[in-house]
Amino acid sequence: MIQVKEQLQKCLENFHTGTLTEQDLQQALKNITDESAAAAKPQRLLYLQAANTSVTSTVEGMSIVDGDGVHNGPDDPEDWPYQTVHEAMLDGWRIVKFPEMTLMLVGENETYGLGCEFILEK
Amino acid sequence: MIDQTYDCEPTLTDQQVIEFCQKGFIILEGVVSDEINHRVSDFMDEHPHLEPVEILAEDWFVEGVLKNPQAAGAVRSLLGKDFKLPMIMSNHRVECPRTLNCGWHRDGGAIDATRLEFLQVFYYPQDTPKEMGPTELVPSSHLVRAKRRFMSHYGNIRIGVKTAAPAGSIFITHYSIWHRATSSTGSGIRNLLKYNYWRTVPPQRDWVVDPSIDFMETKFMPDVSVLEKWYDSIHVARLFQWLCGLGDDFEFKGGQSWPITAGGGYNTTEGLPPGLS
Repeated sequence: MIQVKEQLQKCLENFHTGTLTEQDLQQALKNITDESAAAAKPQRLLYLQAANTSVTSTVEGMSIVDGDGVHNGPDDPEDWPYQTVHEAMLDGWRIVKFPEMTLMLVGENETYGLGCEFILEK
Repeated sequence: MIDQTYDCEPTLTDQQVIEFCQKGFIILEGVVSDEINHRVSDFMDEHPHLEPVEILAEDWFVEGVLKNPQAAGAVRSLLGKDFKLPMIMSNHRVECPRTLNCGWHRDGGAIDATRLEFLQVFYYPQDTPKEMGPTELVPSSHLVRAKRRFMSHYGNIRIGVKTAAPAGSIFITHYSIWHRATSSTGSGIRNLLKYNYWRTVPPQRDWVVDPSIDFMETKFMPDVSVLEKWYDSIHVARLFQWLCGLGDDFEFKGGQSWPITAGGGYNTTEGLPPGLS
């Protein structure tokens, strides 16, 4: 959207100075087309099960969903793309779901599933 | 023969029984002879279906695998004397390579209970390195509540253990352990036989008892776990206490008491059940 806006601003300036060209308008159209294509890319999901509810805690489990399907990530945890949820955030992933707090109600001594799961998207 | 029972000498010590309670599985590497492994592989080539129960009628298989001294000794330790031999036989037979991954799951029929009334056992009749897609297990997951349909999105788990092992290896698991198939890059057939043993007697501490063991000085907390830290030791202790025949009504007193303090070198017996003191 920023590229589209900048290009239209440039077109407007060139129009006022009488220098607007067909190339300026073609570029504006191209920017709109590119952004539409980017918006049509499939949503990617990143499931990260963390040691606790802090985004800086260690990732204990992971999987990624993209246009090609579901991926478990590298076999060796040391090779996982993110060792913490925070690292994923710094790489542009946005949290869409925080760990399920109602799981605290299952009982003082009980654990359900892998626990502190963050779901992120790009 | 239906409901055939078997008895033998137990082989597990107190410490090994506790380790089973912690991890939810025991791996016995290469305990079945090469001769039996070859016969089983040949038999499976002739009976390549999912449930080759015909092999249960083969004496050489019953003696060499189901009553294998080390495997049956471990089963005897955990299920007590006169345990029931398997009546159902499954074979997860795959042709490698394959990228199929069935995802983490507990097998159908898994229940959340302190009791240990049955065991699920796996047997590799051929070498099964990582390239042949060994089953992967999550230590301590037998103590975690989970429903199969709510586990399907889990991918790699940091503490997952691939059961890569030589031919003749048997791994004995708590039925509720989380497990999954893994992809294979090798070539050829990989058989994985799976079967259950059942308890027939009430639990009691009649495995290889160490009279000198001090349960205040024995760690119950698993080395790795997917449970809540500290509280994981409570689940382990509760299962061990039940196996000792001391009931399943163990109640954690809270705070700095047994089993959280167990193995920490503390000068206290607070919370230690009378039957273990």
